[in-house]
Amino acid sequence: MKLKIRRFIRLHKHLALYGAVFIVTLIALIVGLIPAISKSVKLVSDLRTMQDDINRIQTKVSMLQNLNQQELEKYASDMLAAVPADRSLTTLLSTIDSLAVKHNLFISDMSIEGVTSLASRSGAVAIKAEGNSLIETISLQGELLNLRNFLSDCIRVRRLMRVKDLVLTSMPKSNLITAKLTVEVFYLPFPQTIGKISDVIEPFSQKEMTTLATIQSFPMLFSMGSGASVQSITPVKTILPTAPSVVDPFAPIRPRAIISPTPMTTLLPSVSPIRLSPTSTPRATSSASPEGLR
Amino acid sequence: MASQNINLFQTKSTIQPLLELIEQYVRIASMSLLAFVLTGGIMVSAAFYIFGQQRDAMEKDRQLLLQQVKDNVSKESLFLMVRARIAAGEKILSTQVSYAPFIDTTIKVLQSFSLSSFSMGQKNSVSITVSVASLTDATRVLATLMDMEKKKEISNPILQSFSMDEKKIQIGLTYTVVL
Repeated sequence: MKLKIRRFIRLHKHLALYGAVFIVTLIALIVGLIPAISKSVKLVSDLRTMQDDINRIQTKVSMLQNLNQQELEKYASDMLAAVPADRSLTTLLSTIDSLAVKHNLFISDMSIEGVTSLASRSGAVAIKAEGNSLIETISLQGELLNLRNFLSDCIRVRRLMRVKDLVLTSMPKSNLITAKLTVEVFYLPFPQTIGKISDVIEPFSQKEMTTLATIQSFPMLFSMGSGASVQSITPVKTILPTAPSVVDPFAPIRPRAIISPTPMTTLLPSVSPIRLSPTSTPRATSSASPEGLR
Repeated sequence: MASQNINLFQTKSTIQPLLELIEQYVRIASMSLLAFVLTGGIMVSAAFYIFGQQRDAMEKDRQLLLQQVKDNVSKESLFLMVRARIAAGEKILSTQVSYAPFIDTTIKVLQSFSLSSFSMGQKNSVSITVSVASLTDATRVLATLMDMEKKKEISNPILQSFSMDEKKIQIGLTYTVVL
């Protein structure tokens, strides 16, 4: 067999040579050139994708640079007042209380559901599109017209809420009405992620700006923490005595004359009678535990 | 000096014409393939070099832009936070119901009489109980209700209950407020 091959090669040298060149080139084509061509096609496609990516990021950068930081902060502050990041019971109670006082209504009872959730991950509440909600049941007492105005205003304040149910009953032997309202109050936690860095951000649409303007036009019936002056608690400087105040601490105490800086007639302050008005200080009784209040 | 060896092998065999033809074809094919592979190799290498350079330049630009995005991350997070809240606000506003028109209608029905109870039902329906002192007052309440129905302020007025004792008359009414 070997002999035959050798003989063939010797007799057909050129054919063998060209055949070998053909086979080697074919192998080079299959192993080298075709994968290289496919790689370069992929490279071109990658370049195109990268160019699109760059264009998107460029748009995003120019859009972000055009945004006014101060304006955004104002929008954020306004929207956080309407839909806070947490349950914010203080703003909720302030809003309800202010509305009740404004419309001369007395809050006789109040309870809030869904104040606390388990700290574990499984106990975390899933975020809905309109935000998570708390259900508050309020009992109000007052005149029907005042109640009407309360209902009209409560959906136009900057702590967005929705009246889910309303039951009115008349109070015996009076013209006053007791209203039992079920109100849904919303909050929306801060987003955990801001998406991919190359994700395009569209500027606020006209519809969004209209909604924003509508919400901004609503009055805010509580004060945001940033503007309020908070009295700091500073340690009181105490001067420690260097000498004993009395010579004999066990000596019997003798009454001494007290020198008053003011005449005796003004020593007793005139106490004005405190008037309890049902509308001036409405008392809110919340079923929320103090630990749950934030 | 003459060779003393005698070569019994044929130095040249009789080449068959078919093999000659094959050799010709193989030569052409191998040369063409070689030329193609060489040319293709050069072109692909050139393309790799050019596109590689371009990719490096673009990657540099991309990194620069990404850094700019990172520098504005506070703005972006503020923007996204506001946008999420606007979306939530939009949804809340669209589903809010004002109960004021229902109370307005009730006040109109009541006139000066006292309301015993009020409750909201399905599809804008309202159920109220009105306390009146006499049958004449009861008739006035019902007449007002019919008048409002004619003006299309309410629809489907139904007298649910009517009770009378020595002190007062209680009228239970149900109607749907036309918004």
